Amino acid sequence: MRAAIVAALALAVAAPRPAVAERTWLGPARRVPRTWSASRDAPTLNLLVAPRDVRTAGAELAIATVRGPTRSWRFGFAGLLELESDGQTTGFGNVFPAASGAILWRGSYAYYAALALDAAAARWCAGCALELSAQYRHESQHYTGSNHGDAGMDVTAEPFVGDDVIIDVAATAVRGDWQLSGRALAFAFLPGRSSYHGGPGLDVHLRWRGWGRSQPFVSGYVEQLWGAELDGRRFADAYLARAMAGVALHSDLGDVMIYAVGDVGNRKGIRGLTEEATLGVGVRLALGAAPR
Amino acid sequence: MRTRWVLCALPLAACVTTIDEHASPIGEVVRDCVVPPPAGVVALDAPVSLEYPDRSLWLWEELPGADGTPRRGVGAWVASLDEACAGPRLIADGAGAPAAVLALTPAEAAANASRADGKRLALAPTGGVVHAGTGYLFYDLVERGPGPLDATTLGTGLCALAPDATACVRVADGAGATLLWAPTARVLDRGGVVIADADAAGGARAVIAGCRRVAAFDDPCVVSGAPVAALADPAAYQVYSVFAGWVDALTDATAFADAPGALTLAPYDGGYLATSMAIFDNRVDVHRSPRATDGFGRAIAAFDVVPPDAWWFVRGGREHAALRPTPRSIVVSYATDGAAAPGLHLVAFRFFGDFQ
Repeated sequence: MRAAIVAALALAVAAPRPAVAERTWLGPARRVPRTWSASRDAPTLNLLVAPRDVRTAGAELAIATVRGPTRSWRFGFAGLLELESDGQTTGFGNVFPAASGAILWRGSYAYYAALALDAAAARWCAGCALELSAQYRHESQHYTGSNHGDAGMDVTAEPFVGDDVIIDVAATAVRGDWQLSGRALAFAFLPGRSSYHGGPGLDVHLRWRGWGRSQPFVSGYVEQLWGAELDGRRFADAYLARAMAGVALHSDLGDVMIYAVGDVGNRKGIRGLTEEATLGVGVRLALGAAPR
Repeated sequence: MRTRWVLCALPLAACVTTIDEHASPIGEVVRDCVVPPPAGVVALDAPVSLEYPDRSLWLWEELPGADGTPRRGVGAWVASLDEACAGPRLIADGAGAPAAVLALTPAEAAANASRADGKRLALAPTGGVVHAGTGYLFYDLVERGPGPLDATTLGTGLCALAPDATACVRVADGAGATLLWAPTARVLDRGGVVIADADAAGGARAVIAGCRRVAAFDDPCVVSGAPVAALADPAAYQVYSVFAGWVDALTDATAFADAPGALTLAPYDGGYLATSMAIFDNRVDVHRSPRATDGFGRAIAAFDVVPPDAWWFVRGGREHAALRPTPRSIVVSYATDGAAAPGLHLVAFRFFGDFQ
């Protein structure tokens, strides 16, 4: 944990300042965006239609970008609010999916710093990117109780995700019409504030750009969170493997991603003790990569 | 055109398959032994107990003797988990025979001998408190028979077990009656603790839990209390209300739990713990409170017990604070006929941390 915090601070403050810096406010979040990720934590606008109705309002933006001749820094904020039906989608109502069960909430917000090694990536290939980043995130989980006098939900035994530091290294490689991006993550949770103490994650994204606007893609994500003791309860390890496949309708701003999704592992949020496998479909509005 | 093709290729089916429901336990069982019966006894049933600072006194209404003679009112001192798991020894009289710690009066025994209706009087110990080395044991006087399930509680009494004594002396009122409370007057059937209380004569109050059936599946538990110095006086007993404090009317008492099975009040980690046997779920639950009289939260699952086979429910479930291997642990006894491990179990359960 201490090592992770030290690494994050070092990443944020220890790197040399660019000799000739161009500073801009409010811009795309990262050189290698997270918005294509199959992770449930991806900060995007997302509507998972099935198997459950999961509506995510999330975004990640750079508050400030500092570009030098060989590298660029981005400092920003990420936020995510997710509403998930406890039960499965039963149909459509008012244009949106309708589902059974209580509404489960998950919210997170994070500060991050990202360092893109632009010159090094450019030497690798045109369009390639390499980026290191660190974020400090807070997450909490909630649910909406019944409006009809039903009993509340006892969630004292459920896991809780509190505060953590996430270090990641991400890269994008381009070969012809193929684009491959990947991100390796390390989670380090603050002691006594989460049901987990750390774990690794791996994110990959492959897309074919040969059709121009319509770009078929697959994204995969795996994570393993090592259980910890919280409030006198001992939590087991949790895992999630998730894959998306579909088509991204590309624009200068990003993608409209229409996809099928499958996952196996622990549910997110307040139902985190449930291990399951699901298949479903969804649509996402994803901001694209930052320019160099 | 290409986009349409890709869209059509998306699967239209969606499904959820549950793989497992995990738990986040508050502790772990560190020992579970089946207690061997003492010499001369065929099998051990679940005991009630008095918890002394350094040992536990286990008490039974009756144990089946190997010679066919029931051992009634017997008890055993248990000083440690190891000792219990090795097999307790019944308290013996001067001749080495099992002694009745709680015994019928000669008049009650004579009444039993003279009856021809298949009924008999029996003394069922229900627990109590220990103060200054003396054990105060509450018991029910029960008329049993003629069938094995026929039982009528006639009332509740109290006996005092002096330090190093082998017989618990039944307390009588001014008229010489040993039945101090009618069945509906007080419920004192789950044992209790002694707490410091400046308002009580002598500065110490016995707090005794009791649960009474008011309807099917409804057994509210309340606490009764009396200054330790006045334990022999039935009129000194009151019940606790969170609104009014100590009050006289049983119906004004505040229910702190609903426990058709065993329930034990004991000190724990600067506060108090109510340990209960959830007989419908075959599970031991715990409730924490900073006070002995009230404030016990909801039941928190601790550990599962071996479910019974022919019996409807597991028996017992008392917690033996004197046998705790560590301060943050509990030791619970229960009896089961479950084929997996029949007999009297003694389970030590260690809490991971400061659970709530």
